[in-house]
Amino acid sequence: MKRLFLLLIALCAGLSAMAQEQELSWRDKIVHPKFDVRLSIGGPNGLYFYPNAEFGNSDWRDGYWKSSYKLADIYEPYYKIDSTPTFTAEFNWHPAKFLYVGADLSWNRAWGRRYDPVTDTKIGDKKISSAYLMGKAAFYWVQLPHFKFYSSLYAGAEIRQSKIDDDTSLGLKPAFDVNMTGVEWAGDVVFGFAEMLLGTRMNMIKLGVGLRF
Amino acid sequence: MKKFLLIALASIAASSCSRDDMNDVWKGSDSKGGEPGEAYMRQISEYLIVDNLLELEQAIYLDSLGQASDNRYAKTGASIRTVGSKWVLRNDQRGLTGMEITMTADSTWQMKRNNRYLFPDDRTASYKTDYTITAKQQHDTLGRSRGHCAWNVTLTATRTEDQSYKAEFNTQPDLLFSGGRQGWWARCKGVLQMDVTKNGNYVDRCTIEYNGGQRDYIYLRGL
Repeated sequence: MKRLFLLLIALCAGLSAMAQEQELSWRDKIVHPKFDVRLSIGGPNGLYFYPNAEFGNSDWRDGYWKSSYKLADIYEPYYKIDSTPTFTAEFNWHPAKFLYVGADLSWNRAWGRRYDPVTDTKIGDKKISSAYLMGKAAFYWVQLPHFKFYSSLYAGAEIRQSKIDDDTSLGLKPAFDVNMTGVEWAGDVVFGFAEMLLGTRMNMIKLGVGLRF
Repeated sequence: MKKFLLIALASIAASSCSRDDMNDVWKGSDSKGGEPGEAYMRQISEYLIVDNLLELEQAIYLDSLGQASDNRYAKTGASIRTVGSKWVLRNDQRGLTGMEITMTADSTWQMKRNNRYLFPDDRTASYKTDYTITAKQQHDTLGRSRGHCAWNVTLTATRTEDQSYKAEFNTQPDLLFSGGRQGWWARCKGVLQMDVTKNGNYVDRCTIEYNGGQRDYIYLRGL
């Protein structure tokens, strides 16, 4: 009986040691870089556009506009809008395994052709170019050898150039983005990443590639 | 079996026809909305005017039965079928509370209201609408059958909205509502015109010319 008891203890100790070894081995595979740089493209301009602050009656709400029961909706000029994606370059520093902070620079552009709804003819243009300088902090909440999941918060400023027909103006606005779920995947050095963003700079998904070192 | 199938097919065809007919009648705010641009004007012709006519007929009918209560109407004059009598609608589910009905001449009533009017197809489109509708009864069918009277309708109205927009409505020629059964009219003929201004400046002139059914019309804008 005593022998059997000692044998079981030895077996447990052995298994436990093996498990720890295995655990250490997959944890060791997770890369914790000191820095990374990233390039990405994302959705078009964010929240500033959605409440119609810039383009008033817009064709994105065509269905609503055409069946409206309000004179201002029917008769105010409306815009047909196009925009570029948002291009971003980022530099990040990882002071801890679960955290990184950084700064990024973005650019995007939107332009609208203004139409008279009565004659349905083009009566003007409006173009908006924006550059964003933002700081950020990100927190990894799951880290696996080839996948990392994280959330991040961006805050900074937007420099906006608006051109309405022949009038050009410059403005400075606060800017923010919230990324609830981001994911990094693949290699130790080169990796891909995606973020779901909501904010004044971008809406929808941002996709990019990064380099760890 | 063949007979049964034929009867079934005939029933389906008949019911679909009658359903189509019911979609093309004048029944006030139970109707459906319209197409871009036209939809706005149709709120006036299909809802505002028709709902006022329904209220008028109800007042006359209740009066004829002696059932027009003081809770429903603030009355000046005992009967709404007496020239000079004026009844004011106290509570109304069609959103016409405060509407004044005045008998102005033989077989002729005037309905006036100057308050916010909510377009039934857009629960956010509630704006001050000042209107006068004059309705002249063509055939006194009330009380004799379940059908409606035929009405010759004149409308003048002004609707004031956001951003200094204003729409002025009038009928040229008058609208004639006729036919139909309880709760709706079968035909409407005539023209409703709308002038839109912003800060007093011309924006648009539109007309909708009805030739009978609710969908049988010609809509023109930019006149």
